Amino acid sequence: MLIDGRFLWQVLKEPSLLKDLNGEALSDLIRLAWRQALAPRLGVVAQQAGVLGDLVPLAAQTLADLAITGETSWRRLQFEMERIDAALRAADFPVLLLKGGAYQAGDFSFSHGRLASDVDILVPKESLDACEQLLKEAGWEMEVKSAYAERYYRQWMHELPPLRHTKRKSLIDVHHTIVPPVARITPSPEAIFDCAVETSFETLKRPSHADLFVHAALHCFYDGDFTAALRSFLDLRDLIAALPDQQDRGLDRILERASVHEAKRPVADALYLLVKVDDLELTSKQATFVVQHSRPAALQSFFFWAIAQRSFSTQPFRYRDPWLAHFALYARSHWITMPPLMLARHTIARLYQSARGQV
Amino acid sequence: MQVHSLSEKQIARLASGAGLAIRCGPMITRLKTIIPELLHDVAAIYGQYEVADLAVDGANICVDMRYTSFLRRYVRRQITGASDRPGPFAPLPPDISFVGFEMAQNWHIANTYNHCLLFHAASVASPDGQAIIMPGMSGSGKSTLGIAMGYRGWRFLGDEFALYDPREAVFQALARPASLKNQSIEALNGWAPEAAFSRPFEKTPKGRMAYLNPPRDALAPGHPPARFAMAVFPRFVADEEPRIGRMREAEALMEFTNACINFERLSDTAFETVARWAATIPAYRMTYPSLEKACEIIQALEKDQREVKNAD
Repeated sequence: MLIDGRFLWQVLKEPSLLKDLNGEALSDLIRLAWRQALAPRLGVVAQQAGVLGDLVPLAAQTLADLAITGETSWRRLQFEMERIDAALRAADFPVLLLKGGAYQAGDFSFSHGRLASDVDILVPKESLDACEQLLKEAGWEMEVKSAYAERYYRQWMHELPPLRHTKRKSLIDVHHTIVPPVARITPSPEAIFDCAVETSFETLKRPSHADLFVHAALHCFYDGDFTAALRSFLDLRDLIAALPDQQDRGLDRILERASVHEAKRPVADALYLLVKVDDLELTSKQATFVVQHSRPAALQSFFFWAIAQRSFSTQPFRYRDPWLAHFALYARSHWITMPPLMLARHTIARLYQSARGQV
Repeated sequence: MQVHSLSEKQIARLASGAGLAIRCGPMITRLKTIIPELLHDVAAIYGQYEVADLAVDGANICVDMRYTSFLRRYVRRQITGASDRPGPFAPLPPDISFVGFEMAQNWHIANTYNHCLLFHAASVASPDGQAIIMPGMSGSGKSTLGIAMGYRGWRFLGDEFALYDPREAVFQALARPASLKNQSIEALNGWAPEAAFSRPFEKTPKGRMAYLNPPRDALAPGHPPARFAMAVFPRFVADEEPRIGRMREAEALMEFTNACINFERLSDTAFETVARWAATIPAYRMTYPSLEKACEIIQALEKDQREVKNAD
């Protein structure tokens, strides 16, 4: 049995496949899952499916341990969100949870076992200072390494420099839009606020289901972080699977929102990926959208080659990912989020800093 | 089959392929590496441990020890390690890669072994299964005392983690080689003639280190289950009178909680267990000037306890 990213992707959907694995293959799979930050999720999925009794006992125990790791992360995130909710109760501006926090506050079942390292929130740009002030009063403080880094965040990025809680050491990223303002597409934060949905928290809300998908797609295809790309792709699949009404209408809604946010291309890419690797079924109208807006064939195959190398790698024990694929994705994510001159300046600044050991 | 019955070539072939699976108590560690120094040390230090069948038994931990880059395999050689779960591993010279291997295992156990309450403690048990847990931070002398007692009639359960299985209400034995640092290496020299020390490892992140194997008997199956009998919080202070004091319940509760590594992860189970212990398990602070004295004190405590129990 070949234990690769593709198999992990499949097992998370069909946990009964675990039963065919011997001790070595299970160990390989858990290891691979850790590299994609999906091991706790694998544990939760396996436990919920009730397959642990059919596995090699040591592997079953390890998966049960992983499920506990996942639940701990869930509980910790819940606690952090409660603290943030309390800290921002006096806010006279809307506050939205993004990504993992939003999935959990929105009660999506796939949030269980999803590891979260920080909490991302979205506030209107004009309220950034007020938000920063409220969080600082509640014990968070800014953690930046250099004046350049701070200016980089404030001026060019879509977020404040990360805030870390002085006692609990937890991190918050405060965003004012979901992609950097200099990027070549400009999703509308106002539209996200307009469609925000209440959560179980008093102050904190979350984006609508369709906006969550648009954001997840942007994250997959517009971000520099490909270390756990499979997990980001999994968010896409999980969000589609969790669509409330018949998939058609939910998907149509996603396509509408993609147009609102000028994010047709990443959304088309995301759906293309799901069609390719997950046999997602589309109506003919939706398929037309994907064909129209996904990137041209030549670039597409290169892009998919790079992504497949990273995520669906058939070589589970490669320490380093193929460097060309890595570099291509890294360069691309910077290329599409920065104008050329700025990219050149940023690259030189970073090289200079790393030469002086400041990174 | 035990590790020492494999030739170095066989060990190297396993470790460079699917992995060398070493069983220690309830745990199987899978080691993947091509570093010759590490293979050599593993063969020497883990000689008396059992080789598991990876396909049939599986593994809890997979540790990868590797060169930091292709170049660093040949020029200014440097290695690093990782368990399944990516973690913070500093690069090390290949000569002390065994220390890195042990640290990787410790890191992995501390972060993922969630069906047991994990205590940062050395642990031993009397022949009839009365377990003594000795929690302490690095440098308190817990490892030294634990393995020393292992050669004086107690069964050595482990020097780094005490693993309490709440379902069975027993301590599991994880009798890996004890890690000794700096002066404690000398302190144990001559303690037990049959004790097999590893070669010394110089300039590790924790100073000079050596590993001491537990007695063969500690690894054999068939011991009675280790039930929690008492806790001793040891502190080594040279040239001072030995002191022993019983802790109050509240103090014991605090100390047990502090010593528990995965308290948060086990939430209710952890809290209930620790609270019950604080109320029922005798816990002592002990200052000791020598290993001999410490063994005497603990023996006396055990005797007292037996008398109390018999009087009941």
